[in-house]
Amino acid sequence: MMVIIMAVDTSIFAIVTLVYLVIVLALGYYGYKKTAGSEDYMLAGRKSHPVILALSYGATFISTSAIVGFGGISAQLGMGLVWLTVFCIGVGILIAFIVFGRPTRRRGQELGAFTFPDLFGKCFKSPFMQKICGFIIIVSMPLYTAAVLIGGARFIEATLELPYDVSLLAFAIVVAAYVLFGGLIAVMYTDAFQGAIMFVGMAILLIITYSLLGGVTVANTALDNLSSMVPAALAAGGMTGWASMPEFLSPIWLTMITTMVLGVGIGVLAQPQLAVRFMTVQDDKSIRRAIMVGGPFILMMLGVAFTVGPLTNVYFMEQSGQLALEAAGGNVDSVIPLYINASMPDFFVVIFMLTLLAAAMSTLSSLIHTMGTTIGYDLFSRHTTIHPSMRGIQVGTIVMIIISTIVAYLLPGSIIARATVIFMGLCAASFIPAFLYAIYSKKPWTTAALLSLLSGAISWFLWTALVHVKESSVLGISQALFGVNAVLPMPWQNVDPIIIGLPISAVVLGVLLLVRRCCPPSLSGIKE
Amino acid sequence: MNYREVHFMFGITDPGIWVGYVLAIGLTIVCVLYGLFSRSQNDGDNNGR
Repeated sequence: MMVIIMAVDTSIFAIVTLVYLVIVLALGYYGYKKTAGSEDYMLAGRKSHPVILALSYGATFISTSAIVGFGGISAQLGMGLVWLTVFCIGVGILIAFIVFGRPTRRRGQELGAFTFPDLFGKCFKSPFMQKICGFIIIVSMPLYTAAVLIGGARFIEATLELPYDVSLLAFAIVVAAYVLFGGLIAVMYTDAFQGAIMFVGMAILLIITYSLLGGVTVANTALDNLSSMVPAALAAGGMTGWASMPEFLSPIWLTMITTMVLGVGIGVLAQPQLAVRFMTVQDDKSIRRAIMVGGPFILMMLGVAFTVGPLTNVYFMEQSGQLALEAAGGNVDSVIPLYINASMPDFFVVIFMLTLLAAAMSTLSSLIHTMGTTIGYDLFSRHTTIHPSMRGIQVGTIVMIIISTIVAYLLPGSIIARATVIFMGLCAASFIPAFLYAIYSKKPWTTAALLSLLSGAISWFLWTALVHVKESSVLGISQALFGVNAVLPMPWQNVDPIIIGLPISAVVLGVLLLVRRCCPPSLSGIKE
Repeated sequence: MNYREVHFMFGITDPGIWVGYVLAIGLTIVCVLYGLFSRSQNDGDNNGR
């Protein structure tokens, strides 16, 4: 649970939040006025500006948990998470936009696709493929949406001193309002505004932190010198310090690299709410220009979070002789808010709180929109070819908001952080190879892609339920079937399911395509 | 710039960390240059493949 103790008067933050909400709702109204049909509602008319695309993509990708949650983890485990920044820029921006983005836009425009599952269905000429993709999204995305909802509601509860239930409901209703009426134009414009706030907030955070700690070299050297203070439990897990990497293949190294760096860094490639944005621009040039903004945005979000996080140890050690996690009462999620409140000037406390609210809202709005189009168009629409029904999508959006809010009320706190990883891992293991094949092949083979998608999803699920102990211990399936939390010993229990599911999915696709190429269908027994 | 200068500049002793920072900043510069270079290019590709 996020614990925030406001150092600034609640009424000041309430006024600033109100102004912020007025701007967000005005942008939502602008989206409503600009939406003339289903293509506007689902794809922002396919004519978004590159800067809007980049900021919207980045703000959707970076949620509150990336700043506060992962920032807190970096305060605990050190600067090694900088490799997640490297992956998110290299894979999440450069490869995503160049390798995936351009062909996605072209194929989407050529085939008249409106959504991520629709693109799958039309590339493979298979409505069944569209339904399978839609089904995976509808099963996994409410979990992630609920996690974002809870994070935002906890934040509102703490900063505006509202009851949690009221905060959750208000948060869902406000975001739903502009998504419902303004569609993707409203979502992308509000995302861009929120992304700009996030960029400014994190830039100021970096500058003030290094100023506070005596400059870049002085602060980093002080952090390096804290290595002797690593708690015994973390040292036993392979941690060597806050300015150094954990020991190679140690449990902490495996968790950091496979779950965080690879899991999130690669997982970004096939998230439907991000992939659909490539279809919102009118040409390849817009995608290339968006990279110019996307790269610095991710560097500013993650690079700053994973630099300031570890440096909070230097600050708290100088102030109270404690490590950051000790000062935060052992709660990783409290480290960054506590540091902000303890060290920053009042004006920045307000800016930072607004940054967190913007991060939560931008991610939530995109998820709601994606779920609404999936259920209202991909799964249940009767008009999936030329003119999708906007009313159907709006009804779908309302249904998914209600489901996600109920899931948020029902989910135990312990599964929140896992829900994000579960969503990203399942999407990556299921979709990436088939997605790449779909957008690059002129006549893709549906059966191979379907088997790849299913093998990735099933192997990911089995590893999650039976081996990866962080999830399997929560899900309880392994315990019920075999009487143990994980059926394989260490170090396998720390290897993320994406490391297993994604290669299996890719190998299945590769082998099937190879067999088909080498053997004529009549000999190999493979038929469409 | 040799290893010692880089080491001194960042104040971090583990290459596993500062190489990460160099790569993150380097990739960001690549993103900016790629986008800037694209500004002067015309695709003529806005009508599909």
